[in-house]
Order: sequence, then C-alpha cells, then structure tokens
Amino acid sequence: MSRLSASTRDLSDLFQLERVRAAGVSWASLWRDPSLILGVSLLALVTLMAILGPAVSPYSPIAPDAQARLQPPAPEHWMGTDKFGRDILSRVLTAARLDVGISFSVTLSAFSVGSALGAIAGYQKGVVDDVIMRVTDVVLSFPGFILALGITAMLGNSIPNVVIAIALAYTPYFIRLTRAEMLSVRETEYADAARCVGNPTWRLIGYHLLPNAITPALVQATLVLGWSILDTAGLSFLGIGIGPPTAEWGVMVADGAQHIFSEGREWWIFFFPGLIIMLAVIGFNLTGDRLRDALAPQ
Amino acid sequence: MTLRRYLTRRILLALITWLGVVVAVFTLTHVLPGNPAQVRLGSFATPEALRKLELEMGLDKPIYVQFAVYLSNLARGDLGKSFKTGQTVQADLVQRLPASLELAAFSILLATGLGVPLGLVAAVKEDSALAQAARGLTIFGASAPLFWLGLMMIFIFFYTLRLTVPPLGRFDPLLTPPANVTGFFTLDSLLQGDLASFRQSLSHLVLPGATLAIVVIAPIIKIVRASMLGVLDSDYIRTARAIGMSLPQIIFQDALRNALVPIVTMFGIVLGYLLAGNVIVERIFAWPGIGQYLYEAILANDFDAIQGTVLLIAVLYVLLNLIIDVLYTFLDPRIRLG
Repeated sequence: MSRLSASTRDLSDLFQLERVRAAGVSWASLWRDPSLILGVSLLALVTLMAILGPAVSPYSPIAPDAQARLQPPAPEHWMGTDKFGRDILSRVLTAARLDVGISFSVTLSAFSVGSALGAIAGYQKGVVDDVIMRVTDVVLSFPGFILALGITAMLGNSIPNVVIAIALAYTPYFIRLTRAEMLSVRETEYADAARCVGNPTWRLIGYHLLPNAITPALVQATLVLGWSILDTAGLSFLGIGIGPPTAEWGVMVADGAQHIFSEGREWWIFFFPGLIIMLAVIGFNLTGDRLRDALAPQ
Repeated sequence: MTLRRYLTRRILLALITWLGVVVAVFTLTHVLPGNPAQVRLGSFATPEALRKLELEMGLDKPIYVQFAVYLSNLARGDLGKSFKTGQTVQADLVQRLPASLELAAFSILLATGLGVPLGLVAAVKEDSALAQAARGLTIFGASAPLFWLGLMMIFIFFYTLRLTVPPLGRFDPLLTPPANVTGFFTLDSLLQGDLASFRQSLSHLVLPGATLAIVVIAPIIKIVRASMLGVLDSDYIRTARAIGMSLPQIIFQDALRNALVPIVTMFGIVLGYLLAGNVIVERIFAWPGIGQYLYEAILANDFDAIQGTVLLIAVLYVLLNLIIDVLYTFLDPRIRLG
C-alpha cells in the first residue's frame, strides 16, 4: 500500500500491485539506494525541526512586528514575513512539532487499535471476525478525508478531535493487514507448539504470533505518518480542526492564500509552509516504499 | 460458482454495506457526543432556545425512534431540508452533482491521456529521460498537498503567466451557461452547437482539472508501469520477441491488452478518490459542486445538508466498488468467482 492522506488512501490498494522486481532486496543494497537516502535525510530534517524547532527559531512565531509586515524573503527573514510581520521561517519551524506530533499520535492510535483488532479477527475467525470485518467495510465505504471532515465537524474543532477523526479513517488498513498475516501465522507449526504447551490465548496472540504478523502494519505506519500530515494540514486549510493564530502548516497556507489574490501577490506566505509539508511527506513516502520492498514484498 | 450467483452475492454484499453506511451516517450525527441542536445554534444559545429546537428536530425522542424516522424519510428519498439554501437537500445535490462529476471526468481524462503513455515509457525504456521525469512526477503527485498545488497553479498560470481565465467557478458569471441537458457544461454546449460556450466551460475546467490530474497521475503511472513490467517479463512476450516482432507491435497488440485489467480497476479507485479530493479543489476554485456544498454546510452547521452529502458520497463510493468488481470478472476470465 502507499500514498498519502485519507483523502487518497483509497489509491493505496493500487500500489500493492507493484511488484518488487528483484525479489529479496538486501539491506546492503538498500543503503545505496538514492531514493532511500533522500527519504531518510528528509525524515531526519523533519524530525530535527520537530525537536529543535522552537529553540532554533530566529524570531517569535506569534509576536507581531508592525515594522516588518509582508517582507519578501531576504537575509533577515529567509522565508519572508506575513501580514502581522511574523517570521515565516520561525512559524514553519514551530509548526513542525505540532504537525509531526499529530501525525505520530494518529499513526500510533490507528496502528495499535487496528493491529489489535486485526490480530483478534484473524486468530478467532468466525463471528468475531465477521463483525470486525463488516464494520471495517463500512468505515472504508467513506472516502477517508470525508470521514475525517465529518467527524471533526461533529465533534468540534480541537487537536484531540482531529487526531481521533484521522486515526479512525486509517484504522481499517491496519486491521486488514494484520488480519491477513494472522490468518496464515495461526496455522504454522510454532503456533501449534505454543498452543500445545498450554499458553493462554492472549499470550499466544500477543507474544508468539503478533510479532510475526506485524511487519506489513509497521511498514504501512511509515506511510500513514506522511499521509496524516496531509490530512491534518488539509483539514486546517479548510478552517476545520486547527485554527489561527496557531502556527500550523495548513493554517499558514490558508493564510497565505488570501495574499496571492491581493495586489502585492505575496507568494512566499503560502509557498514555504506548503513546500515543507511536501518535503516531509516525500520523506515518509520514499522511506515507506523502500521499506515495503525490503521487508514485506507482496 | 456461476456468474449469476456471484453477481447476486456481490450485490447483496453491497446492500448490506449500504445499510451499514446509513447506520454510520446516523451515528455520526445523532449518537456522537455533539448535540446537533447545539451545533446549529452555537455555544451561546439559551437553554430555552436549545430545548425548543431539540423538540422541533425530534431529538427528545428515543434514539431508535429517531433512527426509524430517519430510515422512513430516506426510503422516500427525503434527505431533509437545508436551512441555508432553503431547498431540500436532494434538490441541492441534484443541482450540484453534475459539476463535480464533470470536473472528475475531465481530470481523469487528462491524467489518463498523459499517465498511460508515461507509464509505458517508464516500463519499456527504464533509463530514458522521460522515464526519469515520470518517476519525478510520481513522487511529486503523491506528496504535494492538494491545496498547495491548487494555489501554485493559480499563482503560476493565472497571475504570473496570464494563461487562463480567473479561477472562479465553472463559467463567466456575466454570461449565461448552456441550457441544462446533462448538467455537464462542456457536453451541453456541444449538444447545442455553441462553440463559444464550450471553450468558456473548458477553459474553466483546465486549472482545477489539472490540479487533480497531477495527484491522480501518480498512481496511474505506477500501475501502468508495474503491470507492463509484469507482462513484459512473461514467456509469451519473450516468444514474440524471439520470432522477430517489433517492440511497438508487441506492446500494443499483446502486452497492453493483458496489462489492462489492473489499469481499468484503477479507474474506479481514482474516480472514488476524486469524489473526496473535490472538497479542497472545489473550495479553492469556487467550483459549485457537492464538495463545495459540503464545505459550506459544515461551516454553517447545516445539519441535514452535511448528513445528506456524506451519505451520497459514501453510496456512490460503494456503487463504484461494486461496478469495479463486476467489471473485473468480465475483463479477466481467469479470476475465480469466489
């Protein structure tokens, strides 16, 4: 599976069809792969931004500066300033922690809930499996972004609600992946062996089987990290979820959108936050794609 | 299993999913902690006004009664009333759906027209500059935020290069759009032989259509390349090469046909994506489709409109999946009807 936001995760099924050409990519060759190097470097950059962001910001992300309104990119303000004179670079750096933090929370929730449900469905089969899978089908009948949009709108605008809404849209993918693995792992000899020595079911699933069934879900998590950044930013671009004056990448693009329609055509206000989103997502996508080729060839 | 039994089963499954979708939409709006009356009135509403509206909306009744009322309204094709437009939600949707479908159809045509040849080149001449460009486009399209892409298109092609019409809506607001036959402005104007209107509506489609096309071209290139590579590796292609057939002959007579199954499947998936992606693109380009309608409904807390639009999108989405599955069995007789 692959590709961005819940808005587009539906395309992800396609990418499963892409075969790994040379079966069994080795770790050694993986580290010489230019896409992986690019992907991992971008990830490192984004992670550094999230950790150090506020500490290395040259200016305050929220304090207005009437003297420096709408400045184009220059040595004092590398990415220019917005209509309140706030430094775009500082805001982009500060927002990294929020956006990346949301994306990690989304992925962690969807991954843990999804793989747990998938493991149970795949191991138990029967009625439990039927119920879980029918509910999964229903959730998948909504385009992910629409679902996230609807849930956030009904729950109200707040960061936790954004996390819940996007995580819910991605959970079915983890359920399906883990369930499929579990269905085959449960029939193996080591599963029989573990059963025979009297392990209780929860221990059998959690300790013996799940570690052998989790790889596809882990690889998927790398991709979901990137897509959920797109979703979060997409929601707040629409003014749903996180609003101004919070420094958030989608909010910043929305803010800059007004300015390309204005006389001055201040392009830098929308351009740089969007560019950073794209670089972050490229990082997660390239890394996720390569990891999948290496670890979980379809 | 015979084809007829397979179809019956598949359609039954879709019906069950539809029922689930109705329950989910109902849950979304009635069971989740948010109070629809509160949402409509805002957080400063007086308790009296709140109680009055709750009574009016039937929110005081038990949840199963509310669901029964909702179901019986649905069965009569009644999606409720939008207090913002003053029309019924179904009338609003019928009015706006063609705009969304036209945009989706246009961008899918654009993406296919470019994506299929690029995918072919990427598979056949892997090291060519064009193949590299295709790869770059795939990464770009898969990672660029849709809203940023739309703004970039406007900034570059409208403001800087002055190549397009203003990115507002489907038609020049000062002119009369073509008489409504299909609701597709391009088709309607052609049907009436009105070339000026045709050019007008096409020029409005270009920017939003291209924005969506850049995003959906990524999976198209990937799928065409992957399925071509799979086919080109097979024995019968090696045989065709060995007996001296030319490369174009092999590609267009043998390989492409067999690579077509996943490619056609992809159309459905991409079309499904376009239904959802439209909220952002329709918002940026002021496109009067169902995405824009949903967006405005959410901002205005127009409860029935949100509910109806989400339901329509999900129902279309399930229908699309049904069609793909059925198409799949016709395209590839080897697929087991299990």
